Amino acid sequence: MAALSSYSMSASTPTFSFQQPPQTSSAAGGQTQHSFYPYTDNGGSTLGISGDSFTILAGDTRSTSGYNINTRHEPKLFRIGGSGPTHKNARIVLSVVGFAADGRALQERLDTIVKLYRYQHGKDISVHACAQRLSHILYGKRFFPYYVTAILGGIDEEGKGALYSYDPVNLKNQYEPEAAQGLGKPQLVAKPLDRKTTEELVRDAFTSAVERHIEVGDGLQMMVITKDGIEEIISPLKQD
Amino acid sequence: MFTTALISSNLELHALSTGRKPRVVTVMTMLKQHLFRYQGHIGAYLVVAGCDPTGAHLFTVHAHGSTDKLPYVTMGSGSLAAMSVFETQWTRDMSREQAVKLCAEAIQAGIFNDLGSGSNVDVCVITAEKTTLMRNYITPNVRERKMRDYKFKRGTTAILDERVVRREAIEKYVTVEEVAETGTTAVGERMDVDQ
Amino acid sequence: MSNPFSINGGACVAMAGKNCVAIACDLRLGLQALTVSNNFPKIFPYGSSTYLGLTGLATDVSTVSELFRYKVNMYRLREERDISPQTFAHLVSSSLYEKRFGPWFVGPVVAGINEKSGEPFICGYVYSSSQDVYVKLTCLANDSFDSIGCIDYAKDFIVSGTASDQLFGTCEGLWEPDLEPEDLFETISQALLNAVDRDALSGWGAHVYVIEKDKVTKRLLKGRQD
Repeated sequence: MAALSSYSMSASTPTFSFQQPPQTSSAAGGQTQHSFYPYTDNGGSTLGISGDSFTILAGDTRSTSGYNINTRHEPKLFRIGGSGPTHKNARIVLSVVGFAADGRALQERLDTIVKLYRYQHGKDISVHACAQRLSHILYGKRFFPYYVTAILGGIDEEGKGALYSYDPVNLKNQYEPEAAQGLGKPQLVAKPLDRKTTEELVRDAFTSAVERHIEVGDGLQMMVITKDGIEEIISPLKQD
Repeated sequence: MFTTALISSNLELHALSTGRKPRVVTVMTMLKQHLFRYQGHIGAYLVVAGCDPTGAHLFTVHAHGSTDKLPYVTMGSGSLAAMSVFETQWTRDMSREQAVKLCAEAIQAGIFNDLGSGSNVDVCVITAEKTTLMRNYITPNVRERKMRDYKFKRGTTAILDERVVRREAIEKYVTVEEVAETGTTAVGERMDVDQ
Repeated sequence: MSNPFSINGGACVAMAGKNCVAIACDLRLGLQALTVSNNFPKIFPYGSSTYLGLTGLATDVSTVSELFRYKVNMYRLREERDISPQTFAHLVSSSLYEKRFGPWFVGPVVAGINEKSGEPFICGYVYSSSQDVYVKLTCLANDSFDSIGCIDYAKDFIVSGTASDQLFGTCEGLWEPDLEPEDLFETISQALLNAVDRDALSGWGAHVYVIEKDKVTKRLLKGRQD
């Protein structure tokens, strides 16, 4: 979300993400120039939080174009890997926000790669390797990017929560737990949150976002990744 | 907001000078002339409704000065959603209750199906006798309670400097003197602008 | 670059509490990415309990604050009393509309307590570039309408400046109704400090005013200097 907006929006003008470049413009000499813009923004928000032994990814389920709602239930979170179309025993989740069609294409491509990895190597891909691969996929389309900001979450080899975020063309960040800076106070120690607290925090973050952003709403899709598997929780959000 | 205030003020003057109750068409005409003069640079889009000696009237006025006179009107980004409700459910000579219900439903169609509209429904009923504004007539979008408490412990924020100004401290520099003729108590002119 | 609202940077926020209001701003003055000063307050007092926060183009912030100083002084001379926050909000509104086709590039926030009724009041204005017009944001408590006594859900906070997106997030997350002055101070301070840390154009310290019926507390916060 943040990365996308910095692409197209100037800081404080209230432009919305669905404002697109003009499709037709009158050039000098009274000629009309036609153009095709291959992207749309389907809006929405996603987030990820990692804990000591789990990672939570969450996203709203509204899909928009302009001032219209395409559907109230279009998931932005996808299981990656595992076996079969149900992604049985998957341990990695990808979230995509931006242009939904590119998001689905990216998800399918990554999913295929992760599954092929298991056929070729006889073991599941690690999150770190998967994250690196995703970075390559995105950069491979440097000059015709997937118009999405992605987050990849899972459990690393030590069983700890792992989280990676991307802008449309590259890996941006690997998140490590970080303590708040104590200003003139004793240095705070980084303490990972427990699962219940984190789930409540995620829900509060989304109910707050719904109040202030028109493209966020309808449903909250939350995926909790632990060593035992992925638990999906879907709960309602305001529909206005 | 300034456009309506200006027209409202001009209308009052008009009523005073003619000695008659103002008519809805008069308001509409004043608005369209004002807006046309500004060639759309004043971006006001309005619904004008009212009852006058000639009956009940409903108009829409667009920023460039064009107007419509229709039995039911909608405006704004949710106008298509609202109009779809009107087009399917509106009938001639509805009762007050029916009309209020239909309007509320039209607005709710906008609230839920248009991203630019949201929150609550206000309804205003205008009769020849009086106008009743029902603010927050329906509130279908009350925020749920937060799951966690986000109050900070006092003393969390580091402060470098603090200054307290008390009202007494300000008032001690002020001397109050009552100026009055002998025997009468001074009464200041009352202004109601503050309340 | 070409947007006058984000050349100098800055952030301002106001919040209402229980019989109190708070208004806070950052201290940065910049020229795009270059920080020029770390002591440029954006909150100005106009009477014992009426405050105005101004973000946006710094030259307009200074000019507009001085213009209101003049206007409020004239009001005080004519009326022999302090201006109430409500009246001041209307003064701001009409002064902005006066420049309808060549606006001030500022994002004003008004906060105060009405001395007569003791009611807290906050309101803000945004410049809507699509409409080219200032829109008054929110009014709290005893604004002229709402006299029927229905419960007023206009709880609220007002944000403005280059960190306004971030402030919307922190405020919507941290604010709760009926905060006591001390708690309101912590909430507004944390909302501001954490918002400006995520904005490259705001920060470098902060001022916080907590306005109660009979006293005003001004605090200088310790914030990140980077």
